[in-house]
Amino acid sequence: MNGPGTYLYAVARPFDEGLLADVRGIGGGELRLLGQEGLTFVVSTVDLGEFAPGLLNKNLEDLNWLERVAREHDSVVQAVAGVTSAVPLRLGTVYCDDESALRRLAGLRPAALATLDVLTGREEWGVKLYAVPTRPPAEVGAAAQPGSGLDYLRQRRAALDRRTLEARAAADEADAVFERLRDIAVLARRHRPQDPVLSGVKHPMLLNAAFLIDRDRVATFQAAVAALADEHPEGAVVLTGPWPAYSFATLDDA
Amino acid sequence: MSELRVLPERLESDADSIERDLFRLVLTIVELLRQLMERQAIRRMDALDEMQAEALGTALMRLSDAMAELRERYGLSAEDLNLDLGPLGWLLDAP
Amino acid sequence: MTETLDVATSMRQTSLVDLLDRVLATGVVLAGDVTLSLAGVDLVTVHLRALITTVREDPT
Repeated sequence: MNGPGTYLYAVARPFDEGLLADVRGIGGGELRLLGQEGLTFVVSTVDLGEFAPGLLNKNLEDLNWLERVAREHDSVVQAVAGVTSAVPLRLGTVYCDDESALRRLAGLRPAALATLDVLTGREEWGVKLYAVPTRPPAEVGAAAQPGSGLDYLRQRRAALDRRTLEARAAADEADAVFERLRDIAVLARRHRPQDPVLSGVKHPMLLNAAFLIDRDRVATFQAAVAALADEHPEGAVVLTGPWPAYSFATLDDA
Repeated sequence: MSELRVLPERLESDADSIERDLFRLVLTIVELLRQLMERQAIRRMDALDEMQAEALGTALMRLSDAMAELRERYGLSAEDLNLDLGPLGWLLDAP
Repeated sequence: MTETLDVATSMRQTSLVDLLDRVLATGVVLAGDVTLSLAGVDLVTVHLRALITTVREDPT
């Protein structure tokens, strides 16, 4: 499949196109607004050769391509979210042309309006929790030399039990942090823990969560995260944000 | 699911490091088996009589010492004996 | 400890991994084929893609 296609970044309430004058889309493409009764679709033209289903998978495997496109996508979404309430779409929502896009989106209209309501006046913040070791590893080897075979087995059992308990405690801790912050949020969701090779962080990731927060509760939320950070070893709690509400925009699941 | 091909496609050994690398691979497998046996023994130790448990424990203890000795001979740490299986994580638990 | 919490991002410095968690529907998983080779001879190739869907599930 080749030729031009229509790439969708976000669905928003109508706004002045001039506000996005300096913003470019994927591959430097110009942004366009497609209007439909109280909803605006922010799109640009892309090459279907890059985004057609079979070809997209190949490109998704190329980290350079992925990074460029993800950031271009995000800069458009951030720009739109900066001027009005918007439902961000995930990467790769493409239609054959503007007409196809509008036709498909007509069907998503109720969902889009409902989601806009949920997201208005709110923003997404991310919290990651890592298992930062507090017990120095040397301590492990300092156990007394086992005297007998039975001693050895007992020691090994104790060590394995300790490991299991620690793993369970870490998981419980992640749940507790999630619940505590969820209380302050409108919506909360957990993402898959990040692969250390990608994140560059050696410590196991216990929690990778996103929270949708009312704008006027953001300070409260940040204070709660700061308090959690104080209760944990340094570097265990990481806050990111604000994000466009990617994690809570359910449009492309429809 | 989006996949990123980040794992090295080849784990090469050259002539100089061949012996050590091969040894490392072999020891990793032996260590895997040792750990599996140990866990199984621990799981069953309460169901064994004291003499059986003692014999089993002694054998495993000697095996553990032998492994440490073998590693030392090639300057390999416990962390060196592991395989990164990408999405499956590491073959062995961290020591 | 910290009085003000460092917010680990600004628009231009967003960690790519954090961004990919959000703009890709199912997140990112590493995959690949690992080939063990000795003296220039490919001996063992492990195909890891097939097993991805069964591992590294979200802990919830």
